[in-house]
Amino acid sequence: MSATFGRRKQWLATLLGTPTGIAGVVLMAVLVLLAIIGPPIWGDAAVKSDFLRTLLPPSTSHPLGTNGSGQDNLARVLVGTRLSLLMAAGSVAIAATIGLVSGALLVTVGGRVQRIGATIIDTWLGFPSILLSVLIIAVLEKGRGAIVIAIGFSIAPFFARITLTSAASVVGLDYVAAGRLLGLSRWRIAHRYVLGNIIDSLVVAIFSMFGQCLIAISALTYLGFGGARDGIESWTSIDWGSVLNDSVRNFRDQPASVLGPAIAIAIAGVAFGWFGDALGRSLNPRLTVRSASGRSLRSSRASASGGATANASVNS
Amino acid sequence: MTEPVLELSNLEVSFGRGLRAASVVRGVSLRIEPGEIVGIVGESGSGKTLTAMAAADLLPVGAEMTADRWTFEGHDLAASARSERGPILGGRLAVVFQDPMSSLNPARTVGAQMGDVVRVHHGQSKRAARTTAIDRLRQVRVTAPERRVDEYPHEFSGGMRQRAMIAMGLMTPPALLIADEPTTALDVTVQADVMAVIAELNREHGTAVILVSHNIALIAEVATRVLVMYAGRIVEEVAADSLATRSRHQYTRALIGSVPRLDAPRDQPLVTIGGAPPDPTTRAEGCSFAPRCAAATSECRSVRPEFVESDAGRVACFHPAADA
Repeated sequence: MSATFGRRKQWLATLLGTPTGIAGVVLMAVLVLLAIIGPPIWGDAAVKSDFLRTLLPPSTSHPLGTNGSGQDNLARVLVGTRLSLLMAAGSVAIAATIGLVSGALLVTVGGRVQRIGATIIDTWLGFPSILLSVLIIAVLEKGRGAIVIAIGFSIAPFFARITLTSAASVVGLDYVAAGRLLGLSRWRIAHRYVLGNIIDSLVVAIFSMFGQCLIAISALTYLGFGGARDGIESWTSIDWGSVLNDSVRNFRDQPASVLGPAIAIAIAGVAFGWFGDALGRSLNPRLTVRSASGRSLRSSRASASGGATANASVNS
Repeated sequence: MTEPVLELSNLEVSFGRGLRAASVVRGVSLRIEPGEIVGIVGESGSGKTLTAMAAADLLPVGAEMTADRWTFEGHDLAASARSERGPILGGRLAVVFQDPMSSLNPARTVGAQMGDVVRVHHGQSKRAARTTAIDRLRQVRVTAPERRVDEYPHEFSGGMRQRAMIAMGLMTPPALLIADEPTTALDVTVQADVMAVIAELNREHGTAVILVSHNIALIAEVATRVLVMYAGRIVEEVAADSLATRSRHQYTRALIGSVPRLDAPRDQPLVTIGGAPPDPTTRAEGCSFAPRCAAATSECRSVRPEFVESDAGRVACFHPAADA
């Protein structure tokens, strides 16, 4: 069906329709690529110690210098991409699942339960997340798994609150009543009528949280909650937080080395934010069509269906 | 006697409890026969919308509803659980809401929403549902329905959205269409279009219509029977063709009198009904219109008038007006 095809094209056009959207997509692609190919390529260089070459300043063979064990800092940053992204993804997934489910449940139940639930969420939200994470790690056992779970739990209320607020503003609208009147199932209404209308803000929230999670995880590994490092180090335990920890410890002797992990964390945070923004925009049909028709008005190479839409929205 | 599409008796709707309880619908009884168009008219706060929404099981959260009898096509809704009422009403009762901007789901194409009805109730395929949707959009005179069906609600104008809502009702011709101020948000030319589509639906499919409006002129034009509501009660029921001449209630007359006339002298102020409707939290003795009524006597203020048969319906008034 040509119409469906046109919609898909518009979706892509919106995703890539802004400079930040393009940058977000490109940076995301680079990060994911690094996470996949980084460890096999630079894994050995990242863990190979050379005690004759410790704390070297940046040079052509070691662009970011070496750390206290003579390991290449750049290789460690590149290799650390995988673990950092996986941990951030894990905690965002935990947080989003808990948040969406509890928010959605509260909206469904409604009434007094919803008000009590909202109060609990607000209290939870008011609790400093790093402190809460440290408490959770104290209960669990130190380690990366504990960090992921702890961060996930401490940011879950953020998603619960967004889900609750945005879903509550939609369920009272006439079209949800109309859907009920059609005899649609609860699930179908929740999915097609409620979720469909709040998904764009949820996506933006999830991706912007990703960057914050990355920072929080790096902070916790930096603080040493990632578990003890002993014995022979393997690349599987390198993430940006631990590289940062290393570099800061040797900051006086080799200041340039903090740049690697710091820039990596910053770029990843920005990339996820931009990507999430563009994805959210492309999931909202109002924004999709508006920007797509804006494009077709500007450029003569516009797709046929985009042009038709533009005309239609001018006419109506 | 045929079975009514909808029957409600002694409907009460209220918000809140105790002293602050606002009772907004007070003992309304109505009966809608197959194929008729019934207008419910009244000013803001008269309970006309809530009466219609209660009939459709669409009362807002916080509203309490009781009724001695509540049936739809012979099914006893009063005795059914909410989950059982859905399947009884689904596909047989359609609603056109007041605000065309919030009555369609902005996240889905118009065609996909319309298709839901037949896909859920008749197991039609996506493609077949789309074809049906195009056909129904054409019936309500949406131009280029083949293209419009794949558009989102925000690409439709207000009048087109109302027509799309009606088209949605047409997917499986319903037994009853409730149109709640369907044209209030639209301009006059589009109003006429939408009303024509509703009338056509009634004529061709025998769908009964409840038309809620504060516009008594509009109702007089399309309805067969008119219910006049004031302060949560029906005060008069009258055949639409007798509305202008043989309506009896003082309030009905005041409403008709306040319709602006083109032949009236322009330097005269428009006729209004003085005062305001009573606070729904109070329970006054007597006729609730008495404080604003020119013909009111002490009897009106102390005793509530009961319905009496009039020559074109029934009326609850101690001082029925003469023929106009």
